[in-house]
This record gives sequence, C-alpha cells and structure tokens, in this order.
Amino acid sequence: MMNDTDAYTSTDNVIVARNLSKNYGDFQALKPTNLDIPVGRIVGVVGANGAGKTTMLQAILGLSDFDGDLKVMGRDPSKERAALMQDVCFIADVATLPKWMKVSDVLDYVERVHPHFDRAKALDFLSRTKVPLGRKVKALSKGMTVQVHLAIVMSIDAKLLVLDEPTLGLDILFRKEFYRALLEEYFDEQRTILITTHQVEEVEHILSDVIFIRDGAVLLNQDMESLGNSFVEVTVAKDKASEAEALGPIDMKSSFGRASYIFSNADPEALRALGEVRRLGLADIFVAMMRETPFAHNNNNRGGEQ
Amino acid sequence: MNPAIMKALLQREFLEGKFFYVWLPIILLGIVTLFVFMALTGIGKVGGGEVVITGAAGLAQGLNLLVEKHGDDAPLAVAVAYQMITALPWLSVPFIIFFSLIGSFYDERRDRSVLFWKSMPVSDTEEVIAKLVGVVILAPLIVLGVTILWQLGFAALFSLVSLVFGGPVGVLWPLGALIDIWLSVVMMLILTSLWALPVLAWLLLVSAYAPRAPFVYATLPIGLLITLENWLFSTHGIAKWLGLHMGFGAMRSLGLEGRHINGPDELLAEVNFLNMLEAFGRSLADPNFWVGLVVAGGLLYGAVELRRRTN
Repeated sequence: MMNDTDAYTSTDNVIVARNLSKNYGDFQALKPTNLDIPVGRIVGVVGANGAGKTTMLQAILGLSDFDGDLKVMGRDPSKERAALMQDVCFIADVATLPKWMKVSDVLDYVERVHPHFDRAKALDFLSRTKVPLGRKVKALSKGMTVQVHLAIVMSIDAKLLVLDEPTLGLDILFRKEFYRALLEEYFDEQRTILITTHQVEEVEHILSDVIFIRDGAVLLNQDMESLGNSFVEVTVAKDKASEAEALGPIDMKSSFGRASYIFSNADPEALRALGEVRRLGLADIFVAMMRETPFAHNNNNRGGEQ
Repeated sequence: MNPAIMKALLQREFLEGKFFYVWLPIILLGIVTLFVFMALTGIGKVGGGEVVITGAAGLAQGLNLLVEKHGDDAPLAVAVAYQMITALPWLSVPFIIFFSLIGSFYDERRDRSVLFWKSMPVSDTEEVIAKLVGVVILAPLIVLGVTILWQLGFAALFSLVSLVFGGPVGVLWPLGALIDIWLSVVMMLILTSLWALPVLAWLLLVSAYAPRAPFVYATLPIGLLITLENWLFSTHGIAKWLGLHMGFGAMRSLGLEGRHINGPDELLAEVNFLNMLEAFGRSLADPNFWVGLVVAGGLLYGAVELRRRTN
C-alpha cells in the first residue's frame, strides 16, 4: 500500500505493521503482529513488564531491527530513523537526558538540530515548573528531569509522539497537569500519540484506542468506545450461577456470597436478565483478560488482530 | 550531511570535552608559568633549545648572546623555545583522544542518553563523524589555540623583562617563524590523524559495541593477536603495522631518515610548512597510507552500523 515515502499522505495510517516480529535467539519477544494505527488517535499500549511493549515501540522508533514489514509515516524506521525523527518524537525511558548538560544547553542543542522545535513554547512549559534552566541535568530531581523532557517533546511539532511510561516518578498533581496539557495544548486530529503506562486509570479518559500485549502477542486492539460496550461485569445471585456460566464469561470473582462474571460481546438482553450489569474500567478489563482462569478460553477478543 | 547539524554536534562535543580540551591545557600551562616566574627570579631554570631562563638578568644576557651568535637564525631558535616551553599540554592529547574515543558511544549507552540522542533527527553516520572530528581534529586545534595564546603571553612577559634588563626585544617576536610552526603543527595533526585513522576508527567501533570495559575490548584482542603472531611465526607484522600508523609513518614521510636529529628542538627546527607539504606528498605515494584509510573506512562503517543497532 505504501512503497515509498512519497506515497504517504496524512490521511493514511501513521503506523502499518505486517507480520512485525522480533526474536532474540530462541526467545520471541514479539510474535508476528499486524497493526494499523490511523492518524489523530491516542493509543494506549498496555501490558505487563516484559510483555513486548518496549520491543514493539523500539521497532517503531527505529531503535532496533525487526522481521516483517513496518512503515511509520511511509518510512522504514530501521533505515530512515533520522528522517523519521523530524516528525516523530519519543521518550523511551526515564532519565535519558544527557546528565552533563545544563537544561539550557539541552534546549540549545534541540533548537539547533530539530527544525520543528519551538523554544519559546518549551520555556513556557518550563516556567510553570520549578526547574532552574542553569542547572545541570544530573543535579535535577527525577521529577524535574521528566518535566524538562516532557517540555521538550511537547514543544516539537511532531506527527507521532511515543511516550513510554512518561510520568514515572512524578507526583499526582504534575501527572494530572501533564495529561491535561497533552490533551488540550498538544493533541489535535493531525497528531497521533502512542502511550504506555502502568497507571492505566490516569490515561484511560484521554485514550481513543487501546492495545493489550501479553507474552509478545497483541491480545486486543480496539477503540475505547466499543471496548466499553463489549466488556461488562454482571453481579449474579448464587442460584443463577450456572445460567451465567452458560453464557460464556471470560472471568469470575466472588465475594460475600455473590459472584461477578465478566463477559465480552455477550447478548445484552440475556445479561440484564441475570442481574445488575456494570461497565468496566480499562484496568478491570485488562486484569480480566490477563488472568488465566478456567473461563479464559471463552474470550472472543483473544489474539487481537491475528 | 547537514552542515547545521554537524555544527551543532561539534558544539556539543566541545561542551562535553571542554574540561579536557580547554581547562586541562590551561592548568598545565599555569603550572609551567609558575616555573617560568620562579626561573625569572633565579630559582631553577626553564628553557628549550638555545634559550634558557636563569634569572631575569640571565634571560636578557642570554638573548643578547643568542643574537650575537646566531644572527638571522635567532628568531627561529626563539620560536622553537616557545614551542618547547609550552609543550606540556601536548603530552595529554593522545590520552584525551584515546579515552574520549573509547568512551564516546559507550558512555551514552551506559547513562541511557543514547535514547535522547536517537530521538533527534540526527543520523548515526553524522554522530560517528562528529565524534571523530570533535575528538581528533577539534580537540588538538583547541589545545594549539591555547598554547598559541600562552606563547604570545610569554613573548610579552619576556619582552618586558628583557627591556628592563637591557636585552633585545625584537628577537622575542619571531612571528614569521611562529606562524610557520603553527601551520606546520596543524598539518602535522592532519597527517598523523590520517595515518592513525584505522586505529582511531577501531576505538570508535569498540565504543559502539563493547558491552562493558571498552578499554579491555579495545586493547586485549590486539595484544593477543600480537602475542599469537610472535608465538606462531616469530614475526611482528601487526605490531609494526600499528607502529607505522601510530606515528612512525607520519614521521617517516617527513624524510628525516638518516639525518642526525638531537632532541625535539632540532626536530622542530627541521619542520616547516614546505617540508610538511612534501611529507603529505610522500604519504600519498605510500601504499601503506592508503591501506590504512581503506581499513579505517571499513571500521567506521562498522561503527555506524553498530551504533544504529545498539541502545
């Protein structure tokens, strides 16, 4: 569909992967994966540590080789990282800013090498923090280092922003403020944001799509709206337990003599007849999908795009 | 290759190495200056070649003698003496180059800043070239700049002393000879760097690859190969090849073989812009020179590819 960069237009998918995989010797860090991420989305990538999130992001960012086909804005990231970085911005790990530089040196450097960096904007973001511009990065607190890095990436006019655990080490006030700024001051329909975090509850409200990864495989790739409709929890009285189990729940938990079943894509009418139906938060859906319960085989969403 | 990006990268290299490129030579020359002042007050002696400072009056007398004895050659003798007195920082330069190169891509992996550098629109090729140019060309040029400033400072100081104690002043400002030597030093730097390029490129490759202890990765395999060659064939081809590229080739191309040279002052007196040009010519005609450049090209390509793959 996109053989060269000229063929890429802003209406196409920002990321297109076909059979994208990565092996380290015998270990398959990422199993063959297909992905289409359209422009103008905020995609959450959720998975446990070692699930393959970082492997996938590194391939997308041109930080590692991979097998299969991968195009980011029409380019092969493993061969054209430098060109890609004009339009892609990322924070791939905490505290990667060069420690020997002063904050102002870092801004100087980015201003010199990045054609889409707006220094005034970065200074505006930093003015809302307590970060001293003349201080060396190594003398900043962990939180301040993250603030500087976030101020920089938010001031780069990029088409794709990739954030791997962006708010690790920040207090709750700054985290809230960061996601507000990301949504209100940065994001627009021309941009795409890919974000991984353990604090699912904090990003849930800004995501448009979510990808679950486990053991190197994409388990689910869905937009948030339909996700909320397809996963529900039903609290069922004891005598209706067998009826509920017949409808094929994907998870079950019991407390105080009542059992809660989680269903994916079950008939809403039949569920309402069982008991009280409740929509689930992202974290609950994630946990339900990740748990190896006797019901796990019922999960229709398993295997994601495969 | 984008010139604006290359400029930004070299500015970054300068900022990172500022202590070793600027402050270390200044500290070393500060120590030298201390000794010069002591020699001027009669404690100990400092000098190079024909010019020796033993007390302020001794300096003035010595300069009068020098002009009397050597006449037209006196300015060259003074210029050589300035080089000798300010030579100390040059001793640190090979170490700075060695450790900066093996640390370059290793340190950025160790402190994770590689992930920041790679998030910028700068290619791995540009990074490798910037590290090489920054460390091998920029750093020695800055050291040269600092020593030039110090030489001019000493010229001013000695002029003052000579004036007070009845010595000559004009001979202390041998600008023609100085400029010739400075230009020759620049050409010598370029020539020795080109000869040493395979070794320098090897250090960059190791820094882009070594999972730990880049010093060991850089030196141990070479040491083993040299020992192995000695055991198996009782020859010293690898060691000779290394020697050729780490100074001997460049010196040989100066065409001083068979000449009797006593110490660095006489060597400096032999080196001028014209015979540096000849040295370039001889190097270009030497197949070993070109073999080295081809090897260096391969190693630099390897460094770029390794830098692309490692985080």
